[in-house]
Amino acid sequence: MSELTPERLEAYADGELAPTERAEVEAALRGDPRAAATVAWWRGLRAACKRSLDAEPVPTAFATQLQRSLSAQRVILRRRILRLGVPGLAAAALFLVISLWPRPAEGTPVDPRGFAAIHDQCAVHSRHDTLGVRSMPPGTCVSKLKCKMPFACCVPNLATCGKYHVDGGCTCSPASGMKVVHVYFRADEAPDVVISAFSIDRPIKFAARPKGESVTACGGRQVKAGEDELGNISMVVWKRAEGSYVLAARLPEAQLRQLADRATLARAERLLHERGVERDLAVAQP
Amino acid sequence: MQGTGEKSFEALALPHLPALYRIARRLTRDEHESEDLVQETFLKAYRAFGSFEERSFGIRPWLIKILNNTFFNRQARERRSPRPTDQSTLDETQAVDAAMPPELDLEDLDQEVKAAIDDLAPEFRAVLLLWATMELSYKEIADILEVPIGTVMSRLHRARHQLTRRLDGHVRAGRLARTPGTK
Repeated sequence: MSELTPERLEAYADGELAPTERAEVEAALRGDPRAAATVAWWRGLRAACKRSLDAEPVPTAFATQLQRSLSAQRVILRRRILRLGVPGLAAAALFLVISLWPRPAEGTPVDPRGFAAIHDQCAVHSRHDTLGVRSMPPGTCVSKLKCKMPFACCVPNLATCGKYHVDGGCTCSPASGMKVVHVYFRADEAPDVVISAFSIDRPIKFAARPKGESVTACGGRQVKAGEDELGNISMVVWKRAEGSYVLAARLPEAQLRQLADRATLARAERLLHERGVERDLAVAQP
Repeated sequence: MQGTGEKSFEALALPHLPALYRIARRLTRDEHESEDLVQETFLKAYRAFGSFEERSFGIRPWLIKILNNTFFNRQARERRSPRPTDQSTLDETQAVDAAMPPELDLEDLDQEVKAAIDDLAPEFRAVLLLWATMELSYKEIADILEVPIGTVMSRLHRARHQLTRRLDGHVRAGRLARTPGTK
């Protein structure tokens, strides 16, 4: 029988136990009414604290005063900017325009439906893990893959964007001759949320293949041009110095773009590629 | 959240004013001081907003971190008297452990709960406030307070046991109604 220490009961009451341990505690509680009452007490205490504290209103006058303080702060900061002088601002504006001027997308054209098909086949339905990376920390993932893969692949670390864990990986590629590492993440608290991260050995751009041609998906399965494999899958692609990344998931486009923007590269690669990462995000529309 | 304007800061941060105020109110145990603390928190956040990166959990943890840091920095600056030592707190905790769970109805005890929270040492109070009002996980609390998870668990363990002892003490003093069927 699982030992019901006070610390364990508290962690259980707070929802902090892993599923396996939680099940053990629940089984033990069924035969220990006193421990069950202790759990109920901790939960009741937390609710009572929240209830008593939530009843504290913000004084109306204070809320108004805070808004005024923020407005005053805004004026102060604007004055500081103006002190830089018009020439400084003009130079800054010119730099900004040059940086953000859209550049033509470069790279090998790849049909995004191939990535979508791999995401569905390998990550969502079959949970392939031919790379043997399930539950591995992303940093460890990269170290392992660098030894195995013939190109400088890198895994965007989604764990820094929220509660995601590595759920598997494979090397299925949407185009013949293109080397790809596919690692997919699953949300800790929403197991239905799966995000595929692809590392590709060359710069690519999304482009639908002509009708009559097909794209290759998992296990040699062919997807014919014209078939709507994207469904409700959103995708973003961005280039780095020697390759590309793609993220694919059944998430709103805006959310995926935010993840792509925030996902940090595993440490080993970040220092190498930080200057080479181009933030021109191209989005494949479902 | 690079590049968002002033409107974005207010739109993002002001909805969390009530939550921050509640934490500040209990941390400082003084209405005027809590307003001052919240104001300083928002102004610091506004000035630092350019370097803030919003992630999936939003701006609230960041604001709470600023508030906690500001509060404890103020405490250090003002050189207030230290709270009762850890040993005495531990003694109280041990006494409560033997009596768990207490026979006490927590309904209609808002004022007593607040008073019991106010009696906690600031470090324990901070952890308990985040645990109770924000319903944060141990890891989230550890990230905000920049302490190890073990420290969070230890402080929370002591805080909730001390709270329980305080509330149970009120019952023994006959100031509160007992639950039906108790001694």
